[in-house]
Amino acid sequence: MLRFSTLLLLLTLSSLSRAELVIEITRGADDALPIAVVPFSGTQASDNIGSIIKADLERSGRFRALPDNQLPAQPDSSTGLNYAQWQSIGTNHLVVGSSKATADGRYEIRFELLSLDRKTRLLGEALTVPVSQWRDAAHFAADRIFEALTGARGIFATKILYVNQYPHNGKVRYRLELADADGFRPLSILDSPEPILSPGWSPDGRKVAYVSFESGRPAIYTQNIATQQRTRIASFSGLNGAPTWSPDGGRMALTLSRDGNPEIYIMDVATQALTRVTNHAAIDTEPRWMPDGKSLVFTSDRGGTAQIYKVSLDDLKVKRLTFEGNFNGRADVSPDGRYLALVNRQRGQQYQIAVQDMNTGVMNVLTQTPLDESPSFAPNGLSLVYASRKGKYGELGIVSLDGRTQVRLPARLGEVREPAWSPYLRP
Amino acid sequence: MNLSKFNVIAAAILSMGLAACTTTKAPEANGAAASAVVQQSDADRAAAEAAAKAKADAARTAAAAEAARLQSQSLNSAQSDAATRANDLAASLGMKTFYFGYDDANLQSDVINSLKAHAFYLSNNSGARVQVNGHADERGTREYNMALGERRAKAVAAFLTGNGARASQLEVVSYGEEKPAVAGEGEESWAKNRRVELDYTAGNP
Repeated sequence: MLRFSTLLLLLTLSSLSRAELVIEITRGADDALPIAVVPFSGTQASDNIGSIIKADLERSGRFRALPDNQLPAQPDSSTGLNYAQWQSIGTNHLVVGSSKATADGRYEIRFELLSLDRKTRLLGEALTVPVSQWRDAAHFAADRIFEALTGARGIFATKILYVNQYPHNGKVRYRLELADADGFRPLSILDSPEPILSPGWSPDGRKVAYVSFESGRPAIYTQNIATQQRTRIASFSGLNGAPTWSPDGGRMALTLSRDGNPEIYIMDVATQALTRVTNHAAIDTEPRWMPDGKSLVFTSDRGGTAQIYKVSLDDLKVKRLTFEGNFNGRADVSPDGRYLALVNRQRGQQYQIAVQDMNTGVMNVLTQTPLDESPSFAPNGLSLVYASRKGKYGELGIVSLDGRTQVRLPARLGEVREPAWSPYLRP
Repeated sequence: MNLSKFNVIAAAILSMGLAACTTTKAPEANGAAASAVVQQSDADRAAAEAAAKAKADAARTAAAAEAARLQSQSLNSAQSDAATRANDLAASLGMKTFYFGYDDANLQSDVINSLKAHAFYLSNNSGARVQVNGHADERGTREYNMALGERRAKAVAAFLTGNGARASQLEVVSYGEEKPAVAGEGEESWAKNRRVELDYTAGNP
């Protein structure tokens, strides 16, 4: 008898069926693990759960899924599975499952991950969700499968925040949106005729911070995603930019030029009290926290070109971190604190996403397109989302930390930019 | 002359436009907002356009006044080259966009005469107000470009105050790379986007 653990997803975001971003896998790792994902049986509220799981796993670059027409059978559970039938397909792992409408209008989704060579079940779980969480359930299952097979936590149930610039009645408008990590279910949380930039997440995933020009001048706002409640936290004279929450959520690093030129400050979120961190006539901006909350990395042109520096919050001592190339800017720090992702320009006039190992100082350029920017680590640190440009239009890209897997996410309307990958979100 | 009167009128028209703009601004959404999106309506933009039109009208009026003033000044002058100088000044004041090199905030030599004319105008028209808007091209990172745009705007503002304008007449705003003058990649586009624009909000010459 199988025992299923029952889970309930508690996400509150509303569901939209149209995909704002289009996924296109441009490069996959050649050592991807083969896997078979059978379309789920039973009532499907929208896209088949199995198809969503399969697309998630393939998009990670770590898996190569067997095409549906090469599946030797369509089982929906391990009960009575004919293992012999699956011996010749060249994969060791099989995902099966089913969906059933419940009496109260929800869906019970069961999924299993099976090892074909060992003839054992690695995972067997069930979730009951309302129709609004149909895709959440599939992403949750994909996360569980990814973790069971790779040892790393999956990021399919996370979200990406980004800015969409779109045409409206002959004018340009700006939207702040969040979408699932696969580009589906975009949700606009701010819509403005003036630019929006530098969006970022609070560490608990409940709030976002961003810069908006809606008053005609830059100001920093925070906004609760669920309640829409907004707070203007900085509208000083001059620049108000680059907000970024501390890992504990209690502080916000930001850039202000109220004292003459762009400097980095830390704001206590509760009291809005400011502490100045940098003091230099050069540009200091784009702060990001180290995971321990004890230092910041930031962009400065104090050495003549823009480079990444680190400042310790104990003694405010500044240390230069990047030396390769004549522009290094807008760093993001990997969740384990080991890697810096940044925008790097070598002599060839190209702005590309690069990753620098902070232990060795070695820099690895990950992207090949000429105007890439705004790298943001996935919460498991295995990949980055970034902004790129295809012809006249901005689009998003996802690249694995080793550069071997690339995915494009073009917008259906207008252009998209400034992606920020969410932290892990509750269930 | 009665230029100051025109400036007062211009300021009045402008402030009406601005008032319309601010009163139609959608209030910030609060926790009770039923809407899924915090929407800033097109009314904002319509109001801004109305303000811009009022500003343009005011600018034309003020420009006519300035031309009249300069002309009468030159007629009253015994010096034969006064009219030429007035024409030069008017032409210099017509230049309101100033371009910069890549990742650079140094003023180019060909903009100095025009900036001096603006400084002279501002020093002689204490009611005039100008927003000094700094911009960057799309290359590099956005917040760095925001800082770079500010550095350029401040270079222009410093030159204006160094040549007679009062600091209280100037407001520096950087838009970074968010409001390009022209779309598209390539040095031709980028060169047009690395700029500072003088936007007179009162007493447009």
